[in-house]
Formats: sequence, C-alpha cells, structure tokens
Amino acid sequence: MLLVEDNPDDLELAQLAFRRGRFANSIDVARDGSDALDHLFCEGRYAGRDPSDEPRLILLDIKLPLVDGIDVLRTIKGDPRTRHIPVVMLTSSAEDRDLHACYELGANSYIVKPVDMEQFLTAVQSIGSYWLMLNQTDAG
Amino acid sequence: MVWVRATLRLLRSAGGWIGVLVLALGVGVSLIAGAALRRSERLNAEQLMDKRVATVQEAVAAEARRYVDALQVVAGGLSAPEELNNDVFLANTAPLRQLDLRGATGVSFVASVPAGDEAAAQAYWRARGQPNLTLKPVGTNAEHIYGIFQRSLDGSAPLVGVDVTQAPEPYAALLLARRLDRPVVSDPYVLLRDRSKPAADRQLSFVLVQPVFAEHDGRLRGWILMGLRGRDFIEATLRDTATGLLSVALQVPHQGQLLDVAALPVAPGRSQLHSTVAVEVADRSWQLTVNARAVDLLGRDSHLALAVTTSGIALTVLMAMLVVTLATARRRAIAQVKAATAELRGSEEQLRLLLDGAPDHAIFMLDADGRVGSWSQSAERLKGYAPEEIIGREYATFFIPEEAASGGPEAVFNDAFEHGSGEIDGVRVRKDGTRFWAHGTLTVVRRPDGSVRGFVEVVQDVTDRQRSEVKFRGLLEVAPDAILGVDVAGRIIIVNAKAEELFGYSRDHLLGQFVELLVPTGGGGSTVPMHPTIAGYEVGDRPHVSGVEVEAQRADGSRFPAEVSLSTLNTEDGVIISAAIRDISERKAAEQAIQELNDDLERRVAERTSELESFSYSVSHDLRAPLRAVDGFAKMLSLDYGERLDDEGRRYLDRIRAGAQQMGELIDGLLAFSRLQRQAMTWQPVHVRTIVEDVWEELLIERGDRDIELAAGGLPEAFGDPRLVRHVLANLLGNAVKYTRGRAQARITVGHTVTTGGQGTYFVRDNGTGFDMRFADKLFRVFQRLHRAEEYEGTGIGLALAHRIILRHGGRMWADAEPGVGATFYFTLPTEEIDHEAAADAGAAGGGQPRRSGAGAARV
Repeated sequence: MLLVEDNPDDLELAQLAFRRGRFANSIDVARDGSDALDHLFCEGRYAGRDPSDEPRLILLDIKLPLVDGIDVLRTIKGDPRTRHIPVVMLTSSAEDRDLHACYELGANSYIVKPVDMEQFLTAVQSIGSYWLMLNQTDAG
Repeated sequence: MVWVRATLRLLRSAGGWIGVLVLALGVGVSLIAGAALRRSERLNAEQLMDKRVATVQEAVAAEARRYVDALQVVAGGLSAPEELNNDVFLANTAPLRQLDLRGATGVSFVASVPAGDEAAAQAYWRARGQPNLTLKPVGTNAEHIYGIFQRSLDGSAPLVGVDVTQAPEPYAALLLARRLDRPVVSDPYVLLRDRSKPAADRQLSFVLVQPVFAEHDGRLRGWILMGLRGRDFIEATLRDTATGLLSVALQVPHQGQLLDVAALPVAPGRSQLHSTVAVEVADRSWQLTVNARAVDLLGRDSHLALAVTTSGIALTVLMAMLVVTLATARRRAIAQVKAATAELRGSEEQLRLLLDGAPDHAIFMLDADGRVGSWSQSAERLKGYAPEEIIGREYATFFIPEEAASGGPEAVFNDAFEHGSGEIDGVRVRKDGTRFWAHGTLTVVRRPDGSVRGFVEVVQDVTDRQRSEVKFRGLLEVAPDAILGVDVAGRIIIVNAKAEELFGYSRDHLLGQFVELLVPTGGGGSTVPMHPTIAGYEVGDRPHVSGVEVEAQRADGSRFPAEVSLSTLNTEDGVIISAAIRDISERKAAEQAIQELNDDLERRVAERTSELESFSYSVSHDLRAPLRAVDGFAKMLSLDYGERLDDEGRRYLDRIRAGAQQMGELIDGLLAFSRLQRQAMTWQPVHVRTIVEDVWEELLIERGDRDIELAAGGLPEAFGDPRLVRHVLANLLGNAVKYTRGRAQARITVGHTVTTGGQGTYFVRDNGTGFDMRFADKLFRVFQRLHRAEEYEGTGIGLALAHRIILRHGGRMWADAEPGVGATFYFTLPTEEIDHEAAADAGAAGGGQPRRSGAGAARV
C-alpha cells in the first residue's frame, strides 16, 4: 500500500491506524505528488525499485506540495501500467468540486478525513478490510 | 374581362335575350344565303365548264376528221384511174396544200411489195413517173411496203423508196387499215431526227393511213400515208379554243400510259374545275383533259357570295346592337328614374326635417329691411317669442343691449353681404331676458334680378357646449403635461401652454404643422413615430396607448427623451388624437444611474462570492488539519498508554478530544452556513413526505435501538429547493431525536396544519425536554444554545441554518415549547414560485419569531 500524505500528523495517525488494523501489507510513504509518481514508476530516487512490486492500494491526499493530488490521480489513471491500482482519495476537503473532479478522473473512492479519531480508526478499518482483503484487484 | 361581365349582365335582361336572338337569326340567315349563292355559282361554273369542254372536244374531233376526210378524198381520187402514176398522185394531192393541214409533214403513196419482187416493182414504178426509185428492203418480213410517190407538206425528207415496215407503228397501222378498209391512225412514235432533240422539243409523230383500192378491180393498190407531228397538228386548235381555261391537254393512250400529244397551260391559277373527255381521232379515242377556274369561266370576280354573307352578318350585328341598346335603354332609364326618385326623397326628408325643425335649431326669415318677416315653431321654442309678438320687429331685438348698441347686428349683415352668409357666434337674448350662446348663419336671399329679398337665419343654442368648452379649455391650459391635439393626417390642431413651453414654439407656429416636427420619425431609439397611421396605431383600433418612449425635438434643435400617451377622441368635426407628452430626461438619467449602480453591485457581489468560496475552501482544509492532530494523538495516547494513566489523566484526554471535536463541528457548521448563503436556490416541487422518510432513514444511527415513534400526517407538496428543505427537516428531526433522549418512549410527529392566518404550515413536534419560552428569541441565532453542552451536544448553528433556509423560501419559522413536555417547531413553505428577492427581503425583516405578550422582549 502506498500512502501519499504531506502532513506529518495525519501521516503518523494514518500509519498508527493501519497498524492497529493489523493489515499484513507493508506501507510505503510518499511525502508529495512528485515523490509518489517517482515511486510508482521507479524513477528518481526509486530508480532501483522492482516495477512488479506495485502497491495493492494507493491512499492519496488532495492537497500536496509539488504535484497536487488531482494531477497525481490523473497520471496514475492515465497510465496503462498503473491504471488498475485502486486509489482512495483521503482528503480533508468536502468541497464538491474536488469530489466531482476526482471521480471524473477515475478515483475508486473518496473519503473525507474526520476530526474524530474514533471515526478515523473505523474508516481506516473499513478501507483496509474492503480494499485489501475483500476487493479483488486486477493484477494488471 | 369587363366586357364578359357586361355581356352576362346584358343577358340577364329580356332585352339582352332578344338581342342575342336577333343576332343568332341574322347571322344564320346570312350564312345560309351566302352558302346558297356560292352553290348556285358553282353550278353555273360547272355548266359553263361542260360547255367549254364540249367545245374543245368538238374542235379537236372536227380537225381530226378534216384530215381524215382529206385523206379519204385523195384515196378516192387515186382509186378511180385505171393506172396510178406520179402525175395522178400529184394532181390529187395538190389541193392539200390549201387545206392548211398543220402538223402534216407530207402525204405519200405507199405500196406493198412481196419480198424478192423488188426489182420487178422497182421497174414498174419507175415507168410510172418515178425514175429514180430505188427500193431498199429492210428486215426479213414477207412483204415490204415502200413509199412510191410523195408530196412533202413541210419540206421534210421524202419517204420514196423507203421501207416503211422498218417502223413498227406505221407498219401496224397500214396492216390494220388494209384489214379494216378504213382510215387508221397509228400509235405514236418518235422520229429519229427528233430523238436527238431535248425532251421539250420532241413531238409525238403519227401516221394517218387510208387504203387505196383500184376501182375497176377492187384490188389494193396501196395506201395513202400522211405523217403527222402531234403537237403541231393540234396545238393551234387547242389554243384557239382554250381561251378562259387554265389548261388543256390532248393525250394518247399508249402501252398503258397516257402520252401528251399537246398540253397547253394557258393561264396561271389553281384549277377548280376539270373535265376529261374522249376525242375520236380516226379509229382511236384520244383523251382531252381540261382545267379551268370558275372565275375565268364566269368572266367576273365571284365574291358575290362572300359579300352577301358579310354584309348580312354586319347588318345583323347592327340590328342586334340596336335591339340591345333599346332594351337596356329602357332598363337604364328606369334605373335613372329610381335614383332620381331616391334623391328627391332624400331631399324631401331633409326639407321635412328642416321645416319641422330640429329641437335646437331655429329658422326664421328677415325681410330686406332687416325686420323679422316670418317665424317658425323652432324659432319660437328657442327665443320664446310668439309669431305675432316678433314679426316686424328689428333684428337687434335678439342681441344683448351692449352689442345691439355697438353694431352687433350690422356686423352680421355685413358679413352676410360680403360672403353670402354671415357667421353667428355670440350671446343672444330670449324674450324672458335669459341669455344663451348662439351659433349659426344668416344667409342673404336674392331675387332673380339680384336685389335683396331678405335673409334666412339658422341658429342653434350652444350654451352647454360653450360652457364645457370653456371649462375644458381651461383644464387643458393648466395641465402639467404638454398636450397636443392631432388630426388624422398628423397635423397639430390643439396646443396647450405646457406644449409651447416644452418644445419652445409658439402656439401659432405649431398649429397646422405636422407632428413630426416635434417627434421626428427615426429619431434614434424611437420606434413609434407619432403619426398615428404610420405607427400602426389605427384610429379606432386601440383607443389608448400609453408609455411610448420617443425622442422629441425642441425648437432649438436639441433632443430629449419623452414619454407619449395617445388616445382618440371622436368629435363631430372628425377624429382627434390627443397626445400627452412628458419630458423624461431626468427619469432616464435616474434609470441609467440605477442600472449602473446595480451593475456595480452585481460585480462586487460576484467578487465577494468568489472570495468567500476560496476562503471556505482554505478553512475547511487548513483549520481542520491541526484538529485532527489533536484529536488523533489524544486518542492514540489513550489507546496505547491509557493504562499507565489514572482516571483523572484519562478524563483530561477525553476533554482534549472533546474540545477538538467540538471545534471540528463548529467549523463544519460555519462552512455549511456560509455555503448556503452563497448557494443559488433552485425552485422545484418539493415532496415533503419523501424527504421526511429519507431523513428518518439517515437518522438510523442517531436513533440507535431506542424506541422512537414517528407519526407522519398529511404532508402536501410545496415549492422550493429540495436540498435546502432537506437540511431543514434533517435539522428539526435530528433535534427531535436528540432532545427526546431522556424519554423512555419518544414520540415525534410531523404534519401539516392550517393556522389562523389561513396559511398552510408544517410542524415537527416532540415530547422531549422542551425549552423555556422566555428565551425563544435566541433559538434561531447562530451559536446561541438553550441547553448546556454537557447535556446536549450541538453547535448552535443547525437551527439558525434551518431558519435561514425557510426565510429564503419566503416562509416563516417559529417554535412553541414547554420545559419537560416537549417542543413544536413550525415553518411555512410556498406552494408556487414566488419573487425570491422580495421574499428573502421580507423574510429577513419579519419572518422570525412572532411577538409574545408578557414574557421577554422578543424582537421581531
């Protein structure tokens, strides 16, 4: 699983939440859009990565420095190598236009980060159960 | 087409039918006569033709007979002597020269000589006057026939010694003649010397033969043979007899064909008559064909038939026209009489009216001295005098003293003398001294010699009209708007003072001018020219038109925007169009300013809105992030390290989390509130019942497994923005669920009722904790709460939001509650689309909590 999040607090909380959910998967982290794309396409500082080792899920925040979340989404869904990977937009904005744009571009899911940690933990649990356990992914 | 109609009209009258009949008859008779004439002419011509043909035929036959007879005489002469010799021959044939046998080439005596006997025959005849005779037989016949003696009649070559049998036609003729013992004419043949000539010069040749028998022993001596050139033979005869004919032709049948012996086209022209007859020539029948024209035969121009017919028809037409004219004349005369009668009747009516007198018209006469000569009932009615009282009195009697003294009557008389009739327009006096305004004419009546016989006055009481005229004229003058009266042609006939002032023209200048002077058509922006008919404003069509904006022009050329109202007035002088014109320059300027202000405001609003949008966007992201951190880590702390803390520590953590969550909710609420303000409302039918059901479903989580009863009554449809109405119901129902938490059995009712104001109202009632009505006015304020946060969570925004929404729908929201019993929230929604702006404004002003008497100061 690839977690793309720039805010250190949100990042740590998300990691804690997933750990508590005890999902067997490893969690890779990217701190901005450009970093995320490098990771996915094995470029830049990830040049040595094995391309077949792709994440089963991408958790993507919208507000990111460098390359913004929407653009990252566009790239992921536009490239045949990465199009099949499920992307869950995890964002603090409930603004309609973001929602619309994300779905237009092919996001698989859109979730607003709740302030309440309980809710967040539950949400993470649901996301993990669904996307990592239940959902059949396309191996590509 | 006109004459077709005229004809049809004609036919409808009896006279017309007679005319048609006459025409038909006459034309018919003429045609018949013409035809008969022509026929008789033709018969005539045919008869003549037959005669002429017979003549020609006779002539030709006679001529042929002459030749034959001549031959027979010669033959007779040659048969008588014992011995035939050249001298006898020549003697007998000598008279032929005098006979004028045209076409005859010569006459010969031919004799038959058996083949082989040539020498003997030659010797025999040499001894009888033909010393140079040489017989030259031709062919292999048993006999040969040679020419022995010859007399040439045209200088042609002699046949002497020539074997005639070499020419088949003459040979055949000779044989036939011998056999039949009669004169025979041969078939035609063409002479050798002719064959080389052009066709036109070639003639058919014949021989005429007559056998010669010796008288004393009856033995055949030989033949007399006459050669003939066909054309020469008969041409002259034909020509002599063919005068007046078109052509004659003599033809001989030969081997199935008809060969022309002689054909004469005598004259040019188309033949109408032809005849073919047979002509006896010797033993044969030749054919004579004659062509002629009737006109030549008759010797005159036979257009008689045509002339008769034409003149017959012409006469007929004339007759017919005459008949028709006479007939219609009668009709026309009748029509004229009718028209004249009607006119007379009309003037009779007028006269009667006049004599009887219209109620307000008076007629009387003055004599040459200006004294009253005759009186009428109408005059008595108007002026009050009985005839005996007024006849003989002066004209001045009718005038008021001041005017009588200052030459009033004289003025009228002078006017009458000058113009034939004088105008009467002034105050007059009745017998009883009352005054009235008179209007009429005084007309001079003259004798045939020109001298004055007297005067006729026709006068009317127009006091009322005068009064009202004065009144209205006054009104017109003081009117605050410029008023013009315009006639149907577009000319100004009435002007008031304001009009003079507004346009800068004097009244005199304006009267009679066309209204376009003041409102030029095509003057920018004006699409309604003043001229009534041009504007399509048909007089009588729309009696009133107002608020038309035009561009008007002052005397100094300056233009200004004006508003025009038009209306029509039917007066006895015709139709007048009244136009009120107002200078709206100020108004226009004000409108312009307002428009600009509005545009400016709109722009600013748009700016603000976009600013707000980006503002809320940032807020929702950036303000929430730290809150997540606070709450998140607090929770993790409690989860992972909670057992190392005591209860107090754990309680502190809970408080930290509570604070963060509260803040989150506040942010959410604020955002929602501001978003609503910005949102444009859509207006649609709102299915309140469906929304209630949906919202109830969504409240499942909040409801948990509590025992809550929801009763929904009749919920009619409303009109508004369904999303926003959903907000309202979500809030109210959510509150109802929240504040009934303390109840073992919660009961919530949603329904619709009609309040005392007659307005349909929805309500949400619960049996929850209620609230103190003293603080009711705080209900709908942002962040104001009526319950303690630790009892009932909440932001204090929800109700304010709901209230706002209802206001925007133009409705009202209010509440009624009792602590410990429950609360009821009422709200109204429109049932049809309303003017939103007005509604929102009105709502903002007075859609809030109604005044409550007694407790508290509730601000409305």
